Amino acid sequence: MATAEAKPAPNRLVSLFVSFVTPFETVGRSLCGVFSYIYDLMAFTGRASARLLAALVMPQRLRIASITRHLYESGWQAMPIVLLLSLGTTMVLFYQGASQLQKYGVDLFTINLTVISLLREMAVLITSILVAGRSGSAFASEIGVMKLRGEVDVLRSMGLDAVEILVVPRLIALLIALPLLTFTADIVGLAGAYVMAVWQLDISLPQYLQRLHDILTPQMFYVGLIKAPVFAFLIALICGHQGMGVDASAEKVGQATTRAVVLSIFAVIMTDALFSLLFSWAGI
Amino acid sequence: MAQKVIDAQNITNRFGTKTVHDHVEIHLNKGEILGLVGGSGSGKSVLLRTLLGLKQPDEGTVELLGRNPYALNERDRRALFQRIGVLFQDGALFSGLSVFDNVAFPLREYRHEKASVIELRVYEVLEQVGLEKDVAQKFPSELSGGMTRRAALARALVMQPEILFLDEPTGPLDPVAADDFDELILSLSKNLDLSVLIITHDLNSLVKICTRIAMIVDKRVLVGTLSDMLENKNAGIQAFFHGERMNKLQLHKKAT
Repeated sequence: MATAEAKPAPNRLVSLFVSFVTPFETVGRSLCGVFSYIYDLMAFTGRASARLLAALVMPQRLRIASITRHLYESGWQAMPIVLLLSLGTTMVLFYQGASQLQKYGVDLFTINLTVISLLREMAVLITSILVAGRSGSAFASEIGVMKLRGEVDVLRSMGLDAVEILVVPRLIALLIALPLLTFTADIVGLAGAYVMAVWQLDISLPQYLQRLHDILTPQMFYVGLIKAPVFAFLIALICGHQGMGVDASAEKVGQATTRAVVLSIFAVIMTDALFSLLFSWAGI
Repeated sequence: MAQKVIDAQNITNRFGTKTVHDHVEIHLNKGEILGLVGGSGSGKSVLLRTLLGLKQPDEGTVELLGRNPYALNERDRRALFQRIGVLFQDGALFSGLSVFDNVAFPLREYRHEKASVIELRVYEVLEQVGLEKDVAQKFPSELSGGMTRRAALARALVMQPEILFLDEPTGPLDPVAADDFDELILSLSKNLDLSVLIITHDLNSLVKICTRIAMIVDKRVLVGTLSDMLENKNAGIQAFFHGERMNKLQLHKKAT
């Protein structure tokens, strides 16, 4: 569009051609933008992974204080809201399932529906999305502000690596916190399903547990939980990358934060879909 | 011939099509205080970043204590930058850490010493820059401009560097505080055997503490002593050194 305005076309034919080509140009440019973003992110991932490995091999390079702080902020402080959301989502899911399945007289299957989707998908997805919104945005804005204030330059002028100091501790903290949060979301979700089962299906606790025992396999639990560290990795890297990309102006911090959250939630959901495909191919 | 601690040759920096530095040569001798001046936007900070190994020049070579900061592996990089202290514009203290932790940061990063040893060193260097002990537990947001700079200076000095870079240390300070800060830098550079590169707008600082002055004019760097600068016929230098403010300063000097 901008080029068309900048150079007014000499005649109608040219302007027609320009208006025909412009959409392609726009699409092409944004596609190039996407590819260059992916390239950047890959490079950043490589750098951060190398730093992560180095830190794991040489534990004296692990910044325990920093990791603990982020574990507390991203893990412990997220606990109440994760529990509440998991409880709420499970109960809503159960209610909707029960009201449909009752029509066919198979209301007991509501438990299958709710519990299996909770363990395989819902718990880890809800937790990851919440963590992306909560901690991901904090990562991007904290690192962005540090970049803006020149604190990142200070680190580099001390001969230190900013990725190692700022991104790796956050990455490690999320890698630990997200599986734990997912696990608690699983447990609370199961409790929520029990409450609904008592209320809607009139079953007792032993009956509910027996039902769980019949339908659940450890596999379902692991299928959900295995995704948690992968999502943690995605969130920490995408948000850290956005934060490190901030330069010059304060509004960039806001933009970076927004983009960090949107991109990491997008990545989490896409990867989840990919996992579903993989698992169905593998017959899990 | 004095030993050069920084030696930069043929430095060219471009941003897009705009050239900021055009084959610039600048060096810092051991033990001297070199003032780097130039109009706003003339690329003083960019040149500083280039010398510091933070921004690779488009052309030219930088030697920092005899090493090229752009061609170092991680271990050498860590070793080299322990010998350099930087006070960035506005201090750039780590906002999440207290003054004590800020100053202790490089020590904890590089020297795995006992907490008591680190504490001793931190309080020693805080005293050197003229900060009270109770400042140590404060956070950067609770400090005044002068204190922030002193704390950042303490952080820059804590590893006992050989070169000190200062980016507009007296910028927003009031004249009295700025004078104090100049005195501090002068005495530190003598006592600690520092070579100092200082970016400043403050003519007082230039006159008072700088051994030589490097001025960025028309993408080039001109170097000389203060009297060289005053005699130079270049229009940019004339404007800078014979402006109203400078003349006042000169008159004042003559009067006293």
